[in-house]
Parts: sequence; C-alpha cells; structure tokens
Amino acid sequence: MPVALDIEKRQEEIRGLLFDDKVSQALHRLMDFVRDFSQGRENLNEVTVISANFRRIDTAERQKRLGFKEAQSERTELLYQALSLMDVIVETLGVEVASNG
Amino acid sequence: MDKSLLEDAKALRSGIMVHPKDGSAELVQFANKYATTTKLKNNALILRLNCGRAETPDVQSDIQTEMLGLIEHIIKDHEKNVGSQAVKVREETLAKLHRYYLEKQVPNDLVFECKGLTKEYPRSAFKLGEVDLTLRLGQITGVVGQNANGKTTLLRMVAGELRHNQGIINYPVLKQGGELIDWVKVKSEIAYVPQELPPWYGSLADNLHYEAALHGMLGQENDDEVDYVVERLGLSEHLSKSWRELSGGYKLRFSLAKVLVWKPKLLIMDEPLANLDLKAQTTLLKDVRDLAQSLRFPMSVLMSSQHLHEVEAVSDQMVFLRQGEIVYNGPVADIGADRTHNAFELSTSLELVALKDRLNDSRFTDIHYNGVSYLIQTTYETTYREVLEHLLNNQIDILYFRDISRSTKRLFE
Repeated sequence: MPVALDIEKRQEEIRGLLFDDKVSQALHRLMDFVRDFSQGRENLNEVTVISANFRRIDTAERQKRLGFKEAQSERTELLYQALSLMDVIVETLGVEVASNG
Repeated sequence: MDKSLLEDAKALRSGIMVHPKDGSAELVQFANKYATTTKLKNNALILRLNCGRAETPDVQSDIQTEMLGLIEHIIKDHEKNVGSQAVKVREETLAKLHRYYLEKQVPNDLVFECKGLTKEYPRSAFKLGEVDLTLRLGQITGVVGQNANGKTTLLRMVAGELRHNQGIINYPVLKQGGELIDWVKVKSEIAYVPQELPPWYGSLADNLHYEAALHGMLGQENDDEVDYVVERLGLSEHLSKSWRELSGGYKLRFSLAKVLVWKPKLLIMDEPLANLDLKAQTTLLKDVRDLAQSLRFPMSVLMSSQHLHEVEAVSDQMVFLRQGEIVYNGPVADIGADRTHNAFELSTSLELVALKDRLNDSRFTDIHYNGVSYLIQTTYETTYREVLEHLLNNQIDILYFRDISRSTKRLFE
C-alpha cells in the first residue's frame, strides 16, 4: 500500500514528528493530511491557523514578549487542537466509509 | 486486573521519578499500548513534548506530577473500556477505513510524454536528443549531467518555453498534444522555476494574491489558498518583505510559493539546490516530495541538479545526459542494474601510491584520484562490506566512503 494512502502510517508519521519535538514539520504534515483526507475548506483553514499561531507564540517567546509558562500553555492548547482535529477527520471518514458499506 | 498493565505502570512510575525525560518517552509507549482513547494518547504525547522543553525544576516537577496522574487515568480507562462494545466498534470502523484506502490507487496519470525529442543549436553544433520521457503525477524525475549537456534545454522544452526541432510532445492529463497544442492552457497548468529567478516588485503577499487571481482564485478562496501556501512553506514571517530583502534560499521558496498557490500539474525546477545550504536543500526536497505525493492535488516534478545523491534520494526516475545524449533514463531502483563492476568513493589521508599498495588484491580492479576523492573500482562480486572490511583490516583511515555502484554518479567518470 503506498504510504500516501495509508492513514495509519500518515498519523504515525505526524505523531512521530511530535514525539521528536519537530513541531513545525509535524504541523506541515498535518496540513498535508487534512488536505488529503478532509472535505471542504474548514479543517484546512483550522490547521493553517493553528500552525500560524504556533509560529506567532514561538516568535513572541523568542522576542521575550511572552514568558515560558504562558507560551507553553498556549502551545499545549494548540497541540491538543491539532491532534484532536486529526482524530476527528479519521473518525468522520470512518463513519462515512462504514455507512457507505 | 491486567497484571502486565500494573507491572508496566509500576516500572513507569519509577522511571518518571528517576529520569522524567526518558520516562515521558515510555509514557507515550504505555499510552499507545493500554489507552483505549486517542485523547489519552494525545495527552501522553503532549506531556512528552512539554517535558523535553521544561526550562526550570518547578515546571519539570509539575509535568512529572501530570505524567503520574495520566498513568492512573490510563489504568482506569483500560479497566473500564478495554474489550467494550464501543471500543470494538471503533476498531472495526478504523479497520474498514484502512481496507477502503487499501483498495484505492494513488493518482499517477500521465502528465507529459515525448518521443524522439531533439533540439539543435547550429551555431554551437550542440544537439540534444533524441529524448523519450514520461512524467506522471506523484512522481519526481531528476535530470543530471555536467554543465552545458542539455539539462536546461530539456526542461525548457517540457515547459513549452523552447520549441523542439523533431519529435512528438503530449500532455495527456491536459488532453493536449501533437501539432495542435493550446499553449495557453498547457502553461496554465505547468510551473517553471528557472535557475536565475526573475525579481518581482512589491511584497510577497501581493505577489501571491496576484498569482492566485491570475489562475481564477478570487475573494475568500484566494485568501485561503495564499494563507495555506504561506504557512505550509513556512514563509509567514517574511510576507511583507520585498525581493531585495530576501536571502537566496527564501527567494527560491517564494518562487515555489508563487507557483504552488495555483496547484500546477507539473512543476519544473532548474537547479533548485544550487544556492541553498544543506538544511535548506533537505527541507526543500522533503517539501517537494510530500507535496508531489498529495492525494488531492498531486503533481509531477521534473528537476535538474548537480546534487546527485540528494536528488536520487527523492526521485522515482532519473535522466542522465552527456553531451546532449541520454546515458540513463529509467527508475532510480534500476540504476547500475546492468553494471559489470562496483564503484566506491573514498577519502583518506593516504597518498595514491600507499593506497594502491594496501589495496593490492585482485578484487580491486582500478584506483584513481579525481582531485577530491579516490575512486575504487572492484569486481561485480565484491560487496561494500568486503571493501569496508578490507579498508579497516589494512589500517586505511576512512574520512569518507560511499558506494556509488547504483548511483548516476558513476556515470560521470
């Protein structure tokens, strides 16, 4: 099975990048995942905003406009949102495939 | 109660207390093994991330406490839900989804094909071809060869930037070909990024919106697509910059963004790695590979480069040109399949005479120096392991070693 079609492997790749603290790469691959497996624009816009916010927080922290704890808290929230989005897409697709027999 | 669960939990608690960072990695494995919900698995992953980034002992201590708490949640979840109807239904649904995609095919439509393509330059007496080439969606094709051997000429002909002398060109996915090609339609689906990037005026943001609009994307769709490409290529911090304020690497990424925003079917890049540092090369190649293999908007990529190993690593097929003639044209996996000997590159502090002396063995059929490294030719039967073993056993210090038996690099010699 080509990797592009293997949803499990694609999820594992994203989770693996997060495990290795390669958040930026993980979010880029999540954008690819959402584009490939999600209908409509809403989810893609959501992951685009998550990625943009993540970058904004990192920049603010680097420029000392945001303390570590605040930055960490905001990052954590965004990562939950990103991972939940991936789960919701898989669940929605699963229900669609199951209901179509 | 699951005995292994309790034993694993006990070991994990101790691990987290002694070494939280290592413990956080084990917590992710524990969650993946025992948690029945993705939410708990996600919690473990995020704690792992936060633990690695913790700057002070009090933050570390808070995360440690959270990790210990998560273990208890996972134990309760496992006890309550493992084997439950809800979990079984979810697993079956996911298995069905997996099977559904297993039966699907990745898009690999033929984007471009040419047969007997030639181009002659009477003044210099240079002739390219004949070239037969097929490019498919989702595939990357690398074009390599020394300078002035026809790479740019080939790319420009495929892009419709240069007229060929003989041969047939078709763009099947665009339903165009033969003598009656609608070049406006073809060029609206083909992106050509030349080596010498033309400068642009105004900010990147303006240019991206303009490119998207030229390809029919207006209003919200235009904004969404630009936002996506900017974020996907990591360019948001440079959006307001002008051409002169950008480094060479970012100029290339911006040029890429300008074409990716309209989702071309074929992306042609002439020497994209030429002005990039090592990290930027890796990032670019990885991005291009991932974006080419998109299920929803796949594209074919044709790129020329002197960075043979890097391009071979991401390409599906390679074209090697020497003085305008095709020396190799086929899958990366088949390079060197018909070879009669193996070839290796070696850098060592030894002089050629001393090296030859230590490689005095019938397996080593030729050794010479190309100005940068030694090229060692061996019999076909001699493996890279045997070569390495021989080098080590004969006290030859290895500064660099590479097996090029199955690389287009061997064709340069």
